[in-house]
Amino acid sequence: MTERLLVQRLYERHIEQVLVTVGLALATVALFDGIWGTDPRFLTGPAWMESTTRIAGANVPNDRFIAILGALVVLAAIVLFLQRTRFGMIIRAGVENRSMVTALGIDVRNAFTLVFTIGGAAAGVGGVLASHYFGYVSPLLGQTLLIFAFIVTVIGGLGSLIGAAVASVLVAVLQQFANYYLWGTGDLAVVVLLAAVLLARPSGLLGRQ
Amino acid sequence: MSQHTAYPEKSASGTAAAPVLVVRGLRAHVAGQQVVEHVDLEVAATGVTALLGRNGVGKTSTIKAVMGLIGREGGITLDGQDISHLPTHRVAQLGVGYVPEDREVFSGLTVTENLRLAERRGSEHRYDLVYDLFPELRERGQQAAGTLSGGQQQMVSLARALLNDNRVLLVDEPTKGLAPRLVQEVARVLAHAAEVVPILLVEQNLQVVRTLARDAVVLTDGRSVHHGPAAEFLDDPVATQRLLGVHGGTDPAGAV
Repeated sequence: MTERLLVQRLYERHIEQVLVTVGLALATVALFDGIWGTDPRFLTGPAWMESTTRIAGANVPNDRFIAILGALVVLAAIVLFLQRTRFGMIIRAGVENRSMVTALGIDVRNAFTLVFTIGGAAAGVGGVLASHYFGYVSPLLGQTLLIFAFIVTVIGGLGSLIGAAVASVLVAVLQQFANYYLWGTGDLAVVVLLAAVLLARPSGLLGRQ
Repeated sequence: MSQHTAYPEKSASGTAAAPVLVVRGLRAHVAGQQVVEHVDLEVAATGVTALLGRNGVGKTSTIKAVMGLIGREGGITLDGQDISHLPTHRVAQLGVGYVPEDREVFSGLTVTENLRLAERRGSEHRYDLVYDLFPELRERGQQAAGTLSGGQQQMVSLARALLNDNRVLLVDEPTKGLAPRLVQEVARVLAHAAEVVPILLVEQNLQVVRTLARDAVVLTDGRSVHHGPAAEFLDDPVATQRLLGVHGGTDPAGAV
């Protein structure tokens, strides 16, 4: 609905797109604040998810496996959708040259509404997984993650799904190792990685040149 | 004299069939700038109609305006149906095939995917014709279209338009930047295509125009200033010099 009402008018106008969507995000968070307050709600999952499994000497909480599995399933589903379906083909072509797709007699707006919906659904899955990771939900939960999401997208290369997947693993592993072995400098290491990637490959690891 | 000339009552070639595409008083703009001032043109129900003029007179813009790819006003009718207010995808669905100036193949998609994307619902898909005309496209089906040569990309672009049962094709400079052998190849394909579907052709190579086109419409500064049989126009050295800056079809640069 958001896509139809607001974003659809703004394709080709990227700055306005970002302004509208980020503005809406802030407004939604404020709305939830107003209704339910900002206090976190703690939640507990099934017992199995609360326990840990020993792998190579480390105790790994089981909910992390669910998170990793969920991410892989979502990734595989999106890749299959883009590569194997006509809608996916329309989207890949539309990202490249929107007007030529319409000139072939295809109403691209429908396809892009679907993209927006899938994006929303994927974010929803991400939210559920994240709530288990953090152990609580609050309207402000996403804000720290949002920064990392942006960094991952830029490092992976705008418009590259596989790039984003590779970059997310790269960023997460780098951050954790730096936190553990380099006296908690994980966030700094991620920013340094971002700077290095932007200097060496401005379009990102797998972005189009 | 580059004043606007009234369109002749009867098709210049003398055929009785009503024109498939009629454009009246077309104006078009890109980013607030007027690029087409006043264009009248008719595409005959059969054969090739050439749209001629120097660089930058609005030939490509006229075609884009018919497709609805840029803002336009004025009358555009396809087989008598008003299409001047329809969005691009509706214009295409009604049977207008578009082969853009720079081919605009989807470089990230394979050749086969480019063709499958062009398949329109409610139309039969003439893969036999396409693979007959361009056997190479079958062999290179799994290759990304972006890795093809310019000539091969032009084949993909033409194939996308020929795949469907269109009522008219708008073909914009199909021989641009191609080697002489490929220019011949494209001309051969267009001649073949023109047997089944009428074509509005923008083309700088006057030798190709001479071979293919029956009628010609000439633009100057965003206005249509001449309509008539193509051969007659190209044989008129004064008119071709004045409107195109070359001698029709005998100019060495335009010769194949």
